[in-house]
Amino acid sequence: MKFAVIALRNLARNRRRTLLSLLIVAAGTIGTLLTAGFIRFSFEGLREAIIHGGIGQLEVVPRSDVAGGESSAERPGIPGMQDWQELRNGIEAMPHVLAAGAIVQFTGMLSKGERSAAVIAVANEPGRERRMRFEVKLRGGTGLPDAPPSDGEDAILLGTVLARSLGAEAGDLLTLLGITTDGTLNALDLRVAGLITTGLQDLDSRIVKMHLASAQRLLGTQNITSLVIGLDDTARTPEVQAELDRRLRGREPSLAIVDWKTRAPFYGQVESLYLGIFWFLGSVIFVLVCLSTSNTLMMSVMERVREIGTLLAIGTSRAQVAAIILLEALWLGLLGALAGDLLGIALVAAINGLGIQMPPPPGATGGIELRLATAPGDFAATVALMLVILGIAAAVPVGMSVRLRIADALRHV
Amino acid sequence: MSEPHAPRRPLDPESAPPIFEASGLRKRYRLGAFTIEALRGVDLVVTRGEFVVVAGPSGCGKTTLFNLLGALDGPDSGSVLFEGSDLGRQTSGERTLFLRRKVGFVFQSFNLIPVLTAYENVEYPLRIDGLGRAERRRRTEEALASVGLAGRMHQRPDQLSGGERQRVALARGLVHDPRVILADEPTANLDSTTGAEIVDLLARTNTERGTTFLIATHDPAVIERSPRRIRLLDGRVIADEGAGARRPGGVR
Amino acid sequence: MFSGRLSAAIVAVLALMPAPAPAAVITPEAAADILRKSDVASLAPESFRARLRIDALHQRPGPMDIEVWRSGDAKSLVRFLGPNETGKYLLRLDDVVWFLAPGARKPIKMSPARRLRGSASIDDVLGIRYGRDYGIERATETEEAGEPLVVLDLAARSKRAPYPKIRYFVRRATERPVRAEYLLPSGKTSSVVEFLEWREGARPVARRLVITDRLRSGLRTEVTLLEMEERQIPDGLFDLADPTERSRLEERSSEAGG
Repeated sequence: MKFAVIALRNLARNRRRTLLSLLIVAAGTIGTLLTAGFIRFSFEGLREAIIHGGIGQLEVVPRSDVAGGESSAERPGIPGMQDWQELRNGIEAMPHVLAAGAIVQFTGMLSKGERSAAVIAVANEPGRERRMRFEVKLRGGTGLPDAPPSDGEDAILLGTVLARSLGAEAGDLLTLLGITTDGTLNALDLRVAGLITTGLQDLDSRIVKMHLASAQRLLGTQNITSLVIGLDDTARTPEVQAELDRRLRGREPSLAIVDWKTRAPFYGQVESLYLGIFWFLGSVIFVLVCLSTSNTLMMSVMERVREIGTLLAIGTSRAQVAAIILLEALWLGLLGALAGDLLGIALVAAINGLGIQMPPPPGATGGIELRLATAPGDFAATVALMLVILGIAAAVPVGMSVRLRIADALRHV
Repeated sequence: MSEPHAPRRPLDPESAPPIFEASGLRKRYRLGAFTIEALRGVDLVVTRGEFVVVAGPSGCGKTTLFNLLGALDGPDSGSVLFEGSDLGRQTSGERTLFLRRKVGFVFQSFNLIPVLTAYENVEYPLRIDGLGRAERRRRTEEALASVGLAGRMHQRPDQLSGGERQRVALARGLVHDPRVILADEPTANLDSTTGAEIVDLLARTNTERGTTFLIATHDPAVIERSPRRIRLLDGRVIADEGAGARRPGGVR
Repeated sequence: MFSGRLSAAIVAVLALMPAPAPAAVITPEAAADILRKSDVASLAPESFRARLRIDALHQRPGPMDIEVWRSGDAKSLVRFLGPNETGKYLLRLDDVVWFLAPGARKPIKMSPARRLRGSASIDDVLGIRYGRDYGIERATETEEAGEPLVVLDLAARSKRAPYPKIRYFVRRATERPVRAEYLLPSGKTSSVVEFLEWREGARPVARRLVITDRLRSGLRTEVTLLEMEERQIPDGLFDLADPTERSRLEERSSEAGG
């Protein structure tokens, strides 16, 4: 305890230098905090965009359809889930479940006159999608009506890039060619209700959306590809998944329950990319803070060589001398990190308040607003991080101080 | 201010137990291209309770001798026995305990810890030795009172005069009740009046507590007041005079 | 022009090369004669109606029945006969294929290479005119199971030709095709059609053929001729814009079915 006080008083001796060290530590803390905040915001934003873009938190799908891989891109063309109504009712009665929407996903050829394009069609129930808080990003026209369209009234939403390449706009009548579950060709006229964006350029050139009833009409089936489940809180995903797993066990044909992260491998890639960036920036901060504080700690030891010699001469053990210097470093880490956290909170609030617009990330179609999401754990983590950094920074000065020869140190001026 | 115990100053140096027995001490330093022979074979016996001045001009080897006696440094050759045990054979832990309990240092430039108050400076050796709070308080206050600083104990060193600082340093050297005080030029940075007061204090402590004193100095006022005077020149003892002097073995 | 000469040069060079036994070189005249006599698609009746069954063997979904109406060289109509297939047609006018469906007001242009079921494309079902659309690059003789076969290496010479090259095997004794290997521009075999059974008569017609998809792990599809009648076909059946004549077809068959 006494050494902690001595260490703290030692810091007060050269206030300017200590202030500089504190600023460095605080800057490192702020940098870490803001980077973590930005990355967490990106993760959360991406996660919610993926989930509410149409895949939900969970999906129930025939196990045979996901044998080759569980991501959405690998779904077979033929909807294979039968007798799903009762299952859906059961799922919708579960806690935290907002709704379970039927999805039919298939590929087809969409034509407008002489122009045609291969498309990925996603048919859903718009009313349920809304209950699941899914977002349809309209870029013209209107969304799909909730009610199933009657024969001849089928409507379609086109990805913006697709619409451009077909030269189609809201109100146009297009023909979609697909393969029925019997394996034969079929075609259906659909009126363009509106244009949509998924946020991903590549997908916008292929995606169309329509009402479940339209797809069932085209494909001649009541089967669906899967049920997507929207939850009131993404954090509940594992618990609902476990409960569903329990309920569906033993059911024939077997059903798989796939979570959003498995369905969107893209998220995992972005996550590892961002984490890589975070570790890189973190390492840079680590090295910078470590080197600069190590230097000032070294200077303060050099200035106190005779004093350290005196401490040793009057019976202080070398471990105790090391403790004093280490404690000085830890005080710098603690105080600097606390200051950085306080400033960081203010900065995060300021940045979030400004509503800065960022350019669209690669492959995306729209800009995003810069926001930072900090978690309470971040503050503790930055303090711990700075303590570790300063502990490492103290290594050289501590090593030097414990190797001092007392007689030489006392002669030192 | 009377101490209950009798002065430990030996009346018969031959029969009192020796506290230091140094023999054949040699020490060289390299200073750039030069090698300085700080000690060239010093033999010395100091008896418990003695008050000894080691006199000589600057660079005669006084500080080096004190470093060897105080285990702050080791000799190139020769040995120092403290109460019969060889300082050169100490482990580093034993050395720390030796410095903490057996010996007290008083330096020319006081060497107080600037971030501690007078009280805390004096208390420091007790704290690192792990003494209880009440015991520390009692002994610290007693030590400060014995050097006449009871009223200024909460000042930092930079708020004290040179004499006051040296008193604090002396209190720090005495607080753990060491066997011996090694004082290296304790009056060199003081004016003559203050210096005389400090020497009075050292002498009185020697008398009252029986603490052995070795004082390195070239201050004539200090030298002439000492019962035993060892003169050092160019790393050799050239004279050992006064009570307790060991003429046959003390001088070569 | 240049490519023609180059082809000729290649043929010449190949002809001069010592052919591996038991292959033997056949004169161009004889080869042309064999191609003409074995070209079943061209020899088929001028106009006819036929029912075919297409079965992607051992695959879901099961077999599919179609009705083919053909009038002359240029016009063919495929009508789908499945329970949910009412009103769906493929109409081939020259080399353009249209899909007609009740859910779509306008005909949809399709690729003739489009698969109907399994690996059977529209071309496979309507027949490829080897004699009309291909030229002989090389003709050799070989033997399989003790039977002499003529091997014709055909190269496309018309825009209607669905594959750039075909390796065409004809049984010497009967002058009937045994199989045709369809090659991609890369030289890789994309599919193989085996002619297994024949309906004999003045105009022989393949009654059963099996198409093996070499690109998709040997998926086999069987096409069987169920019935065939030579008859005049009303031209209105092939009218792209007016479905009247075709809807009469539907009425008749629903009467027959009911």
